[in-house]
Amino acid sequence: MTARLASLGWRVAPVAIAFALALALFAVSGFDVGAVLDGTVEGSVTGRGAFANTVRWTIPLVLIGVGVAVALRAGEFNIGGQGQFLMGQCAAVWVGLRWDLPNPWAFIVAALLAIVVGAAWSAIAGVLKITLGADEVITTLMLNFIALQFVQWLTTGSLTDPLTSGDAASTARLDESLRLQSSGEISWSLTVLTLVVVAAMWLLLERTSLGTSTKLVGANPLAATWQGVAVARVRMSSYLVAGGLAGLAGATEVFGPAGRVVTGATPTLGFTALVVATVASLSIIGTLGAGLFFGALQAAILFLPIVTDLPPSGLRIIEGLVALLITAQLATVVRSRRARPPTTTDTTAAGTG
Amino acid sequence: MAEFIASTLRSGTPLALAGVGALFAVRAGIFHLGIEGLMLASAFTAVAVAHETSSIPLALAAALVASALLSVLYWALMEHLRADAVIAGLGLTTLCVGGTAFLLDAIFDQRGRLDSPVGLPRPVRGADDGLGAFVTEWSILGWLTPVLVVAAWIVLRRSGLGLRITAVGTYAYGARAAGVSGARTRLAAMLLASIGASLAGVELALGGLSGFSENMTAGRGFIALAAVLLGLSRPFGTAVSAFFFGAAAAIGVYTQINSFDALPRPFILMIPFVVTIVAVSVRAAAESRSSAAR
Amino acid sequence: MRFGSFVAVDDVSLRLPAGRIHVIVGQNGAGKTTLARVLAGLQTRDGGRVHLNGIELVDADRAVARAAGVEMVHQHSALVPELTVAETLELNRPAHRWRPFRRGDIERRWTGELTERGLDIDVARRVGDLSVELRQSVEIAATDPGDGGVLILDEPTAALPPQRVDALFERLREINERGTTVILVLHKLSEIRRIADTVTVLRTGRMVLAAAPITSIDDTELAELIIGSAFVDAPAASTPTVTDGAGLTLRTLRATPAVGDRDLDGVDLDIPAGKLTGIAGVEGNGQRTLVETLVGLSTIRSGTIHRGADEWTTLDVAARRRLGLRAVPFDRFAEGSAEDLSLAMNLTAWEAPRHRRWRRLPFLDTGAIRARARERLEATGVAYQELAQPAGSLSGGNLQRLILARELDGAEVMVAAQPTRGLDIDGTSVVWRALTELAAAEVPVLVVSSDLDELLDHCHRIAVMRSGRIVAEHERPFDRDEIGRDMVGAA
Repeated sequence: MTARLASLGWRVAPVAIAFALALALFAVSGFDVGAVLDGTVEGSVTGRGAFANTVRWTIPLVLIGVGVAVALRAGEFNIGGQGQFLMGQCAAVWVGLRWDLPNPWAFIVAALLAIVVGAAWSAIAGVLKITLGADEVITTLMLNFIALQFVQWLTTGSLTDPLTSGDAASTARLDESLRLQSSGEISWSLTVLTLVVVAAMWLLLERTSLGTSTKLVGANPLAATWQGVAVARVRMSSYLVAGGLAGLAGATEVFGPAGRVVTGATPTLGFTALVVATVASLSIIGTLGAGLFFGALQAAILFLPIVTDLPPSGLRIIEGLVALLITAQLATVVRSRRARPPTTTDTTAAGTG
Repeated sequence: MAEFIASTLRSGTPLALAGVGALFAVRAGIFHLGIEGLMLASAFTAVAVAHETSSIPLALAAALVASALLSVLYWALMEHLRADAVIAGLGLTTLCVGGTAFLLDAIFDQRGRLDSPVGLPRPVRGADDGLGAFVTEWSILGWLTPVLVVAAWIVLRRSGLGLRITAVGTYAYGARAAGVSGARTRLAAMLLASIGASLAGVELALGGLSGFSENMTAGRGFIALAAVLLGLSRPFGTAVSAFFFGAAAAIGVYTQINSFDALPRPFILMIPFVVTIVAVSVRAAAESRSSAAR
Repeated sequence: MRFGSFVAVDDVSLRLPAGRIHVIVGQNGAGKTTLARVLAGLQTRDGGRVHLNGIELVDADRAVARAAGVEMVHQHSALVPELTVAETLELNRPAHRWRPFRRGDIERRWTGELTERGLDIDVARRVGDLSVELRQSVEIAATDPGDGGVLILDEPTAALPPQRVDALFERLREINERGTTVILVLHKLSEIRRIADTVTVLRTGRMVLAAAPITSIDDTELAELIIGSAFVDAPAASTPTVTDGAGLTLRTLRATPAVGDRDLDGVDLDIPAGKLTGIAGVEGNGQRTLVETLVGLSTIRSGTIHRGADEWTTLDVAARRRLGLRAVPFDRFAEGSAEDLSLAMNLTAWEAPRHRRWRRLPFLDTGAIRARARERLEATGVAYQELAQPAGSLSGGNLQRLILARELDGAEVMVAAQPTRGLDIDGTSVVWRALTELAAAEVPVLVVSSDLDELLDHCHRIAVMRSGRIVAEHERPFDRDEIGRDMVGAA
């Protein structure tokens, strides 16, 4: 028990340090730290509708984050959650605006299509990696930029709300009857959906042979081939799971709190989800906790400009610092095949004796 | 045509500078996703200093220092706390995106943009049209790029440091057995990388536009890394790949200017990213085929 | 020189006089490599000191040890494969630390140096393309211990054919005559006699003989010291059970491995059920590809593999494993296990039992997984604390036992690649006993080993591999010299 508490402490450490550094920066820059702290608590927990906002941001972060965790477990650096999320949004908003369906069918169709589209978007990088060996870090990053342009096209093109433009360009709003959530309250249907997805993913990873194969492939793909694991298939399914979940997050966003797609609304959600997954040490259940924390942070930072003059870029500073400070000694077990800092034992060359 | 070449050179120069920098990191075994952030931080620092002092040398020096300091931080976290290169690199980039926007607001009370009163010198003046136009447009850093590429080649392929970087990046134990310090070698590689990224940021901010705008690098640091992959981690290959991506961007600019209506604008803006994916895939396929043939 | 206490080497104090050839000997796992690496400044020591010519060497600092003249040649090449020979030598013995060089200059300089040492190597070649033997020559040339320095060689003869060992020893004597102290890690008695001035024996990390003059001890005493009194005799080959069918048959098999090593160039081989078939050969003659081809990892270009009447040629790894193929891979770390995963995962996870109550659902039975894991760990005597501990926390020998335990389960065909490498006496005998029992149960067993003597001791048949082919097959009683000649292709 104490060991578990200690490991939890280590996971929280980078977040706490990042927070402290960011607050110090805010203070030096002349912002009122006390007001910032009060605003943070008020905007995420105590304020009117604040906790609902926290949950509202937790849902997409957890959905995308769980997918990232699965991908990283399989050893694939799929950092394209942002693009997969955006493409899922596009699919969902198209169904919501153009298919004349009532709920729940509208959401079910939209969610399924968003899952398929998100998975397909992720699969591009997966296929290129697995068949040709194209580096997935680069391809998923590029796919994020492409997806953003696609959203721009959609929000200024056929589904546009003509009164908007630029970064704020958006599609028309979904009909109120299709929305699963209105702002200021918690959507129980989306919350339950998220919890069900988390439970299913936990079962997949911890209690099925696909899950154990995934871990083996991520931990040592060569050993996996010697054991007869279909490495390519396992890797591919990790892309599909990650993409599908990010796509689903897109659908919940459109049918839930957002109600439409805005080009520049959530530019770093995918990255925050990556931070969520790594802070959680790629544990599926841990992603819930980390997601809740970063959901609260997101809610708070959107609230802060109302009570202080802190610019919203403050959030990115905190997230960037957390990602920088998530180190092997502090939290994660992520192993990058790209860069192995020096290890004390070197089995490849060591020989035996 | 001259316009297209000019546009290619303008888009390709920062990519080439950043790519040749990133090359050192990649050769030392670090997939440096922080390059994007270093470019942005350098662009901001250069414009901020130029804004205050109107001095290009001071702006350049400040940008180099800022980039180097951030690189040392990134290096120290990886080296001493075993941070993951990819995640910490993305973190560094995010920190720089947020940090520059924040400081823009906090120091200059500006949202989105800060202009610089001065730009990089353009050593060749005169002709205004035809082939002469792009020559006159090229900044001093543009003219220096070929020199820097050659210098990078000498350091990497024809110096002890280059041998040490290659050894550390490809076979860490072998490097250690030869008495080479991995940590120190990686630090040297990161500092060299920071120079490339910094010059790229300065070129971007003061080469043509003379100003900083929020998130102005827009993924160029990542494309520069792709240029390293495409260029097989070699200096000349990286530079050529960078200008190839520059050409892809130039097509976008060109079609935009010449009101080319067959494709909506967002699709044109996708071109460099799509080309990057295709190029990296083709390169990887060719590489796996050649290694299979061996 | 004086040593302190080490991780794998416990409380060793030793004074090695300068200018001699010292041999450190011991079983696999005795701590020889650890000791060598500590001396070279490549491994951290928990305590103790090392002095060279009266100067104390800092712990685990390769650069310091190098500057003091301590050089090391590794058992598995520590050269960077990407670099050319000239670049490698320049990296190790740079003329200048920072100043750029011309390629022609360094190539000329190092060609000259190598010629002086009687080596004819094209210095523009990549190290990765050189043969094991040439690589070793380059590695020795990359060292420059000089007068008063120390040259440590860790098992330098392991990868060499017997004929080349003489040439190596001759070169070492020349180096020694120039004033360099030579420390050799060896484990064959015959080799020790030919080169050593003094001999030091390590056994399970402790020193049982300290730098004794080689003339003061005879072979029987030395063997006793190396092996110790707790010697458990491994079962010698019993009379084979003769059966028909069910064996593996390889016919004119040509195959390309996924990575590295050489192609198979028309292998004909029978691996009959009920017999231990050994593959002898100098390393790098296609043994690895043979194993990978049997497991299903390489591309078969022509030829066939049959198990009895069933054709296996086109089956993938998973299909062969379902038919009972099991394999102990060459590299227990890289191929045999996942260091970050738990023992339970490493033992059973990817061929794990389904949940009993919900058979139709794809859920695993974690209780059964744990029970089976415990059972298997006991079967081969793995020392462990709990099933959840990561495999990386086991010692190399224990890890090998874990892999063996996993692969013995359900084995109907066994392919074991270097199964005893790096194991102590006890571990080695566990491996051979298990393989012998498998063979007795009419399972075809193939063992690849670079240690000819253990094959001679345990196998019923020995096939010799050279240049990607089986060049000879021998039945008991074996003629050691003849097999040796087949290995190197001497008439």
